[in-house]
Amino acid sequence: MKIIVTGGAGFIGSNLVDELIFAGHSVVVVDHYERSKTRFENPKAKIYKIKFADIEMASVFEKEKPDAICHLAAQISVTESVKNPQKDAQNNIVDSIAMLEMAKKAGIKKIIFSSSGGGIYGDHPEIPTGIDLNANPLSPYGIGKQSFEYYLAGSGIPYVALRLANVYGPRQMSEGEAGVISIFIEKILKSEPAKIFGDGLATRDYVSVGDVCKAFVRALTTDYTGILNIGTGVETSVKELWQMVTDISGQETSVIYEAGRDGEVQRSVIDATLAKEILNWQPEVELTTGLKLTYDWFKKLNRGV
Amino acid sequence: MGSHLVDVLVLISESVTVIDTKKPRKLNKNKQASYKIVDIASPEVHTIFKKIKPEVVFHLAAHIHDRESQREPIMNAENNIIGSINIFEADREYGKAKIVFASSSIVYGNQEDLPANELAIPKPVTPYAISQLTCERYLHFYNSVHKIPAVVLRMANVYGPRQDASAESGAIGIFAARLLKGQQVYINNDGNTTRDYVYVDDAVQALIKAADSSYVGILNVGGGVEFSTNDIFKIVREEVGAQADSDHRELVEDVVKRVSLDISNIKKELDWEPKTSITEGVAKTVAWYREFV
Repeated sequence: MKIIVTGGAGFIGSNLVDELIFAGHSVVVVDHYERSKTRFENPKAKIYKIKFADIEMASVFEKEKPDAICHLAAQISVTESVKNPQKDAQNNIVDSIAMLEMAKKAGIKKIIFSSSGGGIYGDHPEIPTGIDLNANPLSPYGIGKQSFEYYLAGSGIPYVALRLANVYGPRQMSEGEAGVISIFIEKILKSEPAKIFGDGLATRDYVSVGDVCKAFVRALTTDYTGILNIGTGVETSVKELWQMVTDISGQETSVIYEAGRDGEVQRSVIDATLAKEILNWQPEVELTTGLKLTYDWFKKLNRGV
Repeated sequence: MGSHLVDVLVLISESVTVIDTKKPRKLNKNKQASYKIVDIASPEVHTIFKKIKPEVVFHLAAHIHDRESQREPIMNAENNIIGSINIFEADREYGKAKIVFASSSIVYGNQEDLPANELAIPKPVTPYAISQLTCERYLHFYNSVHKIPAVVLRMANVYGPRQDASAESGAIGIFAARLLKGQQVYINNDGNTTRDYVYVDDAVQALIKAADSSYVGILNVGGGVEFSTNDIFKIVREEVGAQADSDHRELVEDVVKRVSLDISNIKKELDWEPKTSITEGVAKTVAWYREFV
């Protein structure tokens, strides 16, 4: 299959490009490379350094004639979306609609969309949270993701929206605050104190990027159209997470507690039962294993290896 | 609907400021209101909020054409989503006044259980419906995180005097105008598509009651009766006193087949109910078209 990956230079995107190429697909990356370092370019991928909503995107579709799109390019910060909701909506809704319109004209047969479980479900009464089609997100980021799911459903193109839990792993940049794990690791490697916002009891469902990429690959070939949750069903508090990363590092560490932030969710954990049924997908990487892998990757990166 | 609301608001409020992209038509203009001709997505909106510090914000501005939104989804989203966020952000910055938002019953899409109540899972189909539902979600966010009180009114098809007869949503206005001029009336597809209709004065009362109440959340506003397009044609023809038959033309399918609203919650929460029957409402509308169009 020939697949366009928007945001293919980003954290999940670049891992996905490798996974897709490994699985024998041919891959076209569309990314503006404003956030990403170029070091994650896969030599077998064809790369277009443009924004996914640019008018040039239509000619990419025309030239490459892809079968499917994995749409990952997005404004990714929840905090940023609260500060500037218009910018978030412009990127994650309006620009995505523009891309969708071009995809329709190009006859794209499938779209896999990286949606957000944590963002959409907010502080959900049902824990772990199953697929809720009437959720009220607590951040513009979650609203934008949810909104684009509706546009996908209305497009007539077969699609799968993967509502991802908190994804972590190698290549996650610590600038994006989505990546608390990367932030913790970098702080420890620099021997700086880490910050925890709120009381540290807020929980998240941490799913490894490798597992998430497998879900994308399987979603490409399913007949199912609609929404799937992708997560582990395991709840880990920020405090526990900090302890785990500390243990893996074997270092003396310190942490500062700061006030919680607007739009921040207290408990977030996802029920991915339907993904198991439909994609035969379930997470394979335990958090301790994934953390060790991520820690080692950052350590190498820091040494410049 | 906006101009009717303004006419009532000037009688009961200290001041009324209208923000609209176009100057009001002469018939719609109220001398006691001040008009700012500004796009809701413009930064000027912030300047206006800063100066006026409104106590209530009625947000009715939207691109409302369902069919057109299917051809122009980007324009629709820029107007309805980006524009609305701009209003909400201006309100958050300058006073966090209560927001009453006119959403649409079209957000329900095709429901199995009708009449639809506010707890039904929305199934928006067209970009217009999606944009309205998305605005509802933003208001929920502004309410829960920024503590802005917000009421969402999911409006049935609002009809009455001043409705633009070229608008695709206003079957009553279009039928009245055409029948009065002796022009052929076309009904899209088989005419069995149903909608709930609410007279504009009743809709305005719902907006005002929503502003006055301490209720926060979503409420349906409708006549509580389901009419097919064919029914509506017959009612308007009767009122006009015309004999003409309608002609059916095949258009793109109506994506939402039936709209039927449960209005029991708004009765309970706002003590509101529609006062104008369809025959009375159509009579008033036809009388207006006779005089002015």
